[in-house]
Amino acid sequence: MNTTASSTPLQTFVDLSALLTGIAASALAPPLDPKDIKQAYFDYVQREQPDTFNQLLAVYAANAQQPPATIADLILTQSDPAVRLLARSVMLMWLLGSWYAPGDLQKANAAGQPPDSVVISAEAYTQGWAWNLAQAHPMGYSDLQFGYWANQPPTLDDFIGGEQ
Amino acid sequence: MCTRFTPAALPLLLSMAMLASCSSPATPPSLRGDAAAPPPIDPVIATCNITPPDVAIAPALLTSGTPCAPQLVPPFDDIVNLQHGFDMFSWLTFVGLNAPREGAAPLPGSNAPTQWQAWREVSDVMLPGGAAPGGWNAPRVTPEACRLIPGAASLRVVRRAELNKGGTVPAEVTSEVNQPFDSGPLIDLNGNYVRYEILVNEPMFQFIVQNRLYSKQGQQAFNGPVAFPAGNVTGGSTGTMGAVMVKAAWKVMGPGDDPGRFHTVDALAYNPPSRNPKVAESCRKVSLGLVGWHAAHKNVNEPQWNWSTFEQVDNVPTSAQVKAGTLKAHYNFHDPSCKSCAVNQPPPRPWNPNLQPFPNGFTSQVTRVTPLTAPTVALNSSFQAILRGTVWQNYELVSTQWPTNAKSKTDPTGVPAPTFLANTTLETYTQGTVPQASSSCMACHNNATDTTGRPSDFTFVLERAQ
Amino acid sequence: MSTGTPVPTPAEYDVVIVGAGVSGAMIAKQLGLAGKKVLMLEAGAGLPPNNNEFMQRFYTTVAKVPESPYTPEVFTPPGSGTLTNPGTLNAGRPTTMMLSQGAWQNPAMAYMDQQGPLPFSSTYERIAGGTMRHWLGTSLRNVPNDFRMASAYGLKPDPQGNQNNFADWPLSYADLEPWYEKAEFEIGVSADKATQAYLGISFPPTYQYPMKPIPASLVDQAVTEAVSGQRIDGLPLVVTETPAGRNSQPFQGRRVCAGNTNCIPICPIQAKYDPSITLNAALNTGQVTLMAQTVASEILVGDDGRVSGIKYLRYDDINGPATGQGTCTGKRYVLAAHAVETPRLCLMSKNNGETANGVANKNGLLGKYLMDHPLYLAWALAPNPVYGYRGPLATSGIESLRDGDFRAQRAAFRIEIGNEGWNFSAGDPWTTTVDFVNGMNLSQLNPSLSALWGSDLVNALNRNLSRQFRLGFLVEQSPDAGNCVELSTTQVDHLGLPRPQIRYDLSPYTRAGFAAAKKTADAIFDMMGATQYTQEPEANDPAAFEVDIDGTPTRLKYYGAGHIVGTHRMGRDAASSVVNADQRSWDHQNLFLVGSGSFPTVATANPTLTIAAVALRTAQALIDDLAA
Repeated sequence: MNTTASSTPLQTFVDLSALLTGIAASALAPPLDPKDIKQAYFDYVQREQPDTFNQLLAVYAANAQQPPATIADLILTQSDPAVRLLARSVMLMWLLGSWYAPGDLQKANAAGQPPDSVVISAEAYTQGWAWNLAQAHPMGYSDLQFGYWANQPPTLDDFIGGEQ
Repeated sequence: MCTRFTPAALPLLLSMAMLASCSSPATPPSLRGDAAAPPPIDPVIATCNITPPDVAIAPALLTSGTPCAPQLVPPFDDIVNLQHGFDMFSWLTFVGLNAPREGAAPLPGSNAPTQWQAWREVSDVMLPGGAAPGGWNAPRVTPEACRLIPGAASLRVVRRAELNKGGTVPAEVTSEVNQPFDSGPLIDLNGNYVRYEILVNEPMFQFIVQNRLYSKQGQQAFNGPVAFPAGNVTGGSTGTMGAVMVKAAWKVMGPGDDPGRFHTVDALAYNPPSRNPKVAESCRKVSLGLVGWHAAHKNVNEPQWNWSTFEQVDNVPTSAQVKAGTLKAHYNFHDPSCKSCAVNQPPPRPWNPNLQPFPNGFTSQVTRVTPLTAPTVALNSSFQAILRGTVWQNYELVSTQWPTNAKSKTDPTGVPAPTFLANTTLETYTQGTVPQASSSCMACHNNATDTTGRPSDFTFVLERAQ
Repeated sequence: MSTGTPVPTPAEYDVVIVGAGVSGAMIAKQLGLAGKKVLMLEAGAGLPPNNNEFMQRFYTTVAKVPESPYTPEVFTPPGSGTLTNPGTLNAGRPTTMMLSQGAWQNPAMAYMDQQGPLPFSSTYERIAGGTMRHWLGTSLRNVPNDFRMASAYGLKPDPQGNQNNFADWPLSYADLEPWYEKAEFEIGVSADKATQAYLGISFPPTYQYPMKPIPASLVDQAVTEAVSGQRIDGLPLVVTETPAGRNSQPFQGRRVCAGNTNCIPICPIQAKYDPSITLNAALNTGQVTLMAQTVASEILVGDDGRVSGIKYLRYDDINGPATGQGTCTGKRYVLAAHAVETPRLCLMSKNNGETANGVANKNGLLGKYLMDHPLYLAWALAPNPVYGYRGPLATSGIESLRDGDFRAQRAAFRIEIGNEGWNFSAGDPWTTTVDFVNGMNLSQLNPSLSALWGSDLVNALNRNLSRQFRLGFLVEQSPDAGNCVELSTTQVDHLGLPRPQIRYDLSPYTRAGFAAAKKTADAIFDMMGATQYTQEPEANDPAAFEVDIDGTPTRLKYYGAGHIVGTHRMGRDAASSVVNADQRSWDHQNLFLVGSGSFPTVATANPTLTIAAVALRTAQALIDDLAA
């Protein structure tokens, strides 16, 4: 884990995102990051849920040295409902490039209906990680070359392992 | 250690012995015991410019030569620092290739000879019928329609009023009137079409010729993969240049233009015949000024190539400047007094470069959508200062696109920085920041193939084979 | 965005074309190359300079439906959940978001006035480039029996005369074969004829498709492995590569396919053909004028029974007032506004009572025999990863079930193998991802309602997404006189023009084909060892119907395939058809109605290649006609 007591909020955000999504921090936020989606996401959550976001970051930062399962439990089970739901919103942001507001996630659970969402930006959609977990690419955004689909994709670890 | 040599100047056996101790990529088998040995595709040279990016920009740089590869200094996890390294590489490339020869400085005035202008234009490589192009120094092809013009044999033929077209039909059916993917020609304030050239350096030329990739038939017979030689520094100033391709955009010098602010050339504007749109074959003498310049360089650490692009400083305002009303008196492709002109819209079809000025008074009203970054502007000022007193002070680097993760297992484009890049004279109508749709050198060139559909190593040159 | 060239000064055109979709574009280009002067009226937006706006709109929309990149906006304001009220639009059109329970018969939401009993579920565009902008790329030819359903299978209408109105085409496969070739070159189709000569399809020995075939996907390979050599109802199951209007080599100066998996709704790099390419070629001739944002409002007919002009309205804003009007004239007129808008325009054209039933409608058949390929969607998890979400949306299909004696009793179908996982079927990866993060089970993949994180989450998503795939069965709907396009008596658009009214149902013939499709899906999934997840529709799903399958009443859902066909059928005589084999109106000698509306049957191939073939044939007929 990269987070220390003196980590920036942005670094804390990246580390907590890596913990929750299971995708390496250096994949979510590579050392050279021309797209810089981490900053866009950070700013977005900060704008949407400033207080709960600070709480979420604080929980992580205070417990960064704990084993991952402990931190996850603290965030996803033991925290206030607002923090627990916001953690899910953050995960979905990275995975789908869309914002599922915590309140909408709660409503969806209660009603058994799909939650409302809004696409954060074109960049966010094209950086969505769910597609990479499928070992594919976002529909409408391929960096690949003709004929690739006839061959096996890169491994899951190639996608999520990050830069060693 | 290998030094540069020309086989023709040495006895065959001696040259073969020297070759045996050189590591020269893709040495063709025909060099063994063949009386007319083709030259090495990417010969070793001792003139690589190894200037690091953290030196002061001083006049000595003007004679430091062309880089074989980017020189980078730490910190290597700082994207701004690396961008500066690549931007230096671009400027040194621009200065080096605009010199008349390696080790000289770019000449001060217009009409100055440059190294890249002696390279081979792609239409002289991809010949009708897939004919073999002859050697590197073979004379340039002058089209029939140009031959009656006095001095034609010594003038460069600038035949593209567009940058599109390759594929399955010969030039007379394809209209050479367009920018990438049929987005439209660029029309200056005098109603004249901007004209383009695509040129390859000798290593790139030799790779094509020696692998017979200049014809559809040759491409079908080739076993692949297509991998152009990569520039590299192996020690000191020694290395190989690798493949470099240049795209130049030229504007006809006309009323309102000060040729002293441009690198100029006397040329023949040749329009090949076309069926649709109907364009009659024609040729006329013109004086052209350089307004846009791309260089793409294949390098060992950047197999996705490094992409540098320059513009003449008077080309266009930024869209922010238009909004703020802070416009200069004159631009090459923007009329400050026209408030109702549609911005960044291509002219109405048909596009016939024989009809100049463009009918109905159309001129392109262009703005730069993405401004230059502050570090690039600062670097430009530094180089323009040492180029003062030459036409080259009137050029600026727009940016350099380079792969931040060249070895990515999941992104063959190597996650380029910056994500988008456009030259307002070369990708006029596809500027922007929309993924896949807006101009990005690497994203688009990643889809380049030869005529068989085989990936062609980031160049569209091979798809023009006939 | 450009609205096209300024309004031209009155000048007699050789041909006026209403609609700048594939038929209009192809005809305009051929006429322009032949030196004819052409005026095109396009109701919607003109040609944009690049794909920026389309792609931006697509990327940022939540509902990535076929219409999502294009105008007019599906939702107002964009990004909200509120459907744009069609009454506020000067050139509205149906969208797939208008088909839900609460929307399909709501005039404030649905563009078409749907009378039912079932919703017509296909949609179309009104923009330069037309509906084909969001075609998949499938470029199949019809099989020979497709052109002769009545005589080959002795099919007769039902006693009321409202269903099973099969008719032979006035063209045979052999008649159309040279035009298929031309269409394949105009579009740029990738295929190997060696795999395409089935069920009577044949090629001249020297013919080669323009480009080599698109490679099969891993999903295709998995299906092929399981079904090869198998039979169903005595018919062989053969997986074939699908000919596609998609570059496998550089063609027309366009790039090769990069597998963006986004053909519907838009190929970001234009490796997939769309009619803007032909429109641009038409404009290149210098003979063609395109007036966008120009809505044809009435076809004028003179005393001699010939069309004497077309009235139009112009607008600047899609929800603003009309800003101009006029009448244009030509020696010939072509209606290429697709199979709902062309009859709508004809029906609106009353000529002060002289054509009270509309233009081109003396026999009352205009607007009748509306058809689609109702699509049966079945989805499953393969036993091993098949890595969907990669490559074009579809690269192979099963064509071997498209013909046979069974067509006397029930509809035939073709099978499209989808490469996009459960995107169409279940709204994935969004649905499954939300399920495993938020502890829900809308995908049916998370029955334990687990809310996962870390490597558990990664593995759950990877394991499921990588094994998802679907099959789409395109069923040949019977031509039914009861399925028709008329004019709404209560709903108008923003220009005050009556919106189209639709009556639609699925005949027993069609439903029996659907039942066979379901059984085939079940059988194929069994052969693959796949676990099926096809969901039975809710009882209140408007696009659900019941059909008997081996004695069990079963509720099935149909989707629209986007194939709108039949409303101005071609035939051999004026009593039984609207146009002749050249797509010329029997009633007005200088009027042509072109496009899939001319098809007497929907046949078993996706219609686009046949639309292009008959358009090119009509273009030649027009050129010959003008020369005579």
